[in-house]
Amino acid sequence: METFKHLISIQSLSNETIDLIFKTAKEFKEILQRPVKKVPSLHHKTVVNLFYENSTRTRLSFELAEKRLSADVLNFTVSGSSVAKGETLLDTVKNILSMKVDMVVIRHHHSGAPYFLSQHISIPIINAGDGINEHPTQALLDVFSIIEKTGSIQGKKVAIIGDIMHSRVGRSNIMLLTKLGAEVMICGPGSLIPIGIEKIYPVRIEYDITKALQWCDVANVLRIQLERQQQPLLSSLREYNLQYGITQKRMHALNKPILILHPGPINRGVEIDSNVVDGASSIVLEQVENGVAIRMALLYLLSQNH
Amino acid sequence: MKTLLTAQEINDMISTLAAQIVASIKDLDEVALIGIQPRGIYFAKQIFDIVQQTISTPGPLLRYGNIDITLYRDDLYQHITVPKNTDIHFDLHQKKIILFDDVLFTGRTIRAALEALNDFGRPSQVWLCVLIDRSASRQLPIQANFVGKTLNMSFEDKVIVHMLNNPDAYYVEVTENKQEHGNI
Repeated sequence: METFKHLISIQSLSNETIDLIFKTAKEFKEILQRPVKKVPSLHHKTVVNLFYENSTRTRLSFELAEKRLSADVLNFTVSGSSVAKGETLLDTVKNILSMKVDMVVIRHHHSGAPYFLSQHISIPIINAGDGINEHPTQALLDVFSIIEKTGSIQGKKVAIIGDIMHSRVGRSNIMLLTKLGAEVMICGPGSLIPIGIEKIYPVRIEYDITKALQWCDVANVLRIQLERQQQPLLSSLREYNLQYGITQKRMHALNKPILILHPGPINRGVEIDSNVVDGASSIVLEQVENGVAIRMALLYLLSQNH
Repeated sequence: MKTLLTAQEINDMISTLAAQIVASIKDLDEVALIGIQPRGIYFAKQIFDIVQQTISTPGPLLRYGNIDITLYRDDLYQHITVPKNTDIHFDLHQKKIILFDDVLFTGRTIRAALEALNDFGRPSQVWLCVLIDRSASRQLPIQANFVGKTLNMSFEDKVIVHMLNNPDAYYVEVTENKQEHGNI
């Protein structure tokens, strides 16, 4: 069986490893339908969840995945910790590891923090989102959900819509989708699309939301991340909704069905309207369900490396 | 390697086991046949088909499923493997289960399967049916209710069952450790 030591970036995963992750997740998803949704596979492991940044879905999803695999779980959040007293990331982690922890899940506001850790500690690390860099488990669950719904990803036209500039979800999705042979379009206001992105990744850029929706089979709608914007990049959220929001009207104007994904948390009425989120095209809740299965698969596969 | 059982011998054995199961178990309505991945699933399906043909029409509702024990293994801390498909679409509560596996060796697979079954409900009874029982190599107090053939080989000897979709291509090979040095 192919091995991988950490999950820091989508870039470092081979197609064989991605296939292995998806196959394993598919079997783990079956466990989540059983009367007893728990297996003893990691009962000998302890996992620490280091969350230096707010999270609801990802933190709960990792914690549930760990508990479904019977691992012991340590949860660390910045508030109430010694980080407020000036402790460095490495000191915090080394102290936790001296308590004999076997795996680290880390979310950090600084891009590159998981990579930095991987250079200093030997146990498996899973990146649960670092700054504006990557969110590999979200991309894996997004693509897993698309494949589950449509049968394949090769040749699918996927539009990633919204705040590409600040989105680690967008970046990881672009890497994973293009690696697996999907066609990727990014769509949003010019101020939220990094200059020259089409030279780094094989993506096309579209500024017209109507054309993007007409082109795609799948639309992955990103959250407008006002908290990461250092300067005003939008005139108003109302105007953003008028120009780029996924509205019922825009959905009705399409002459074909498309799948709608959103990584959450959703700003209803900004990047997407409530009736679209809750409508038949949306698979946002399936994404959340698949997130647990994907994270179980990753924890299980990485556990062999320690 | 030498061939221990041919396809014909294995299929005759399976027919005999199916007849024994029909003769010894009442209330087939409450019975579910569950094969253990990977080879037990073909074994169980074949017995299921024979029993279905044997019982009267409209007969009792016999159930069939398969189970993978990978995540319940007691050596997962040493090495892990990718889990295979588990497919049980019925409540096991108060059901009589017949577990199927190709070889009963140390008993550890069956221990894991019993633990896995409990996650689907609490069966009233569990029987075990195996094609080959390597009775001399048991490491746990487990024994089968229905046995095709008993082998008294040493622990180091190898028994390989070739059992996939096609019953005409079944065969069992054995290697005695004394003859092929290092093949453990």
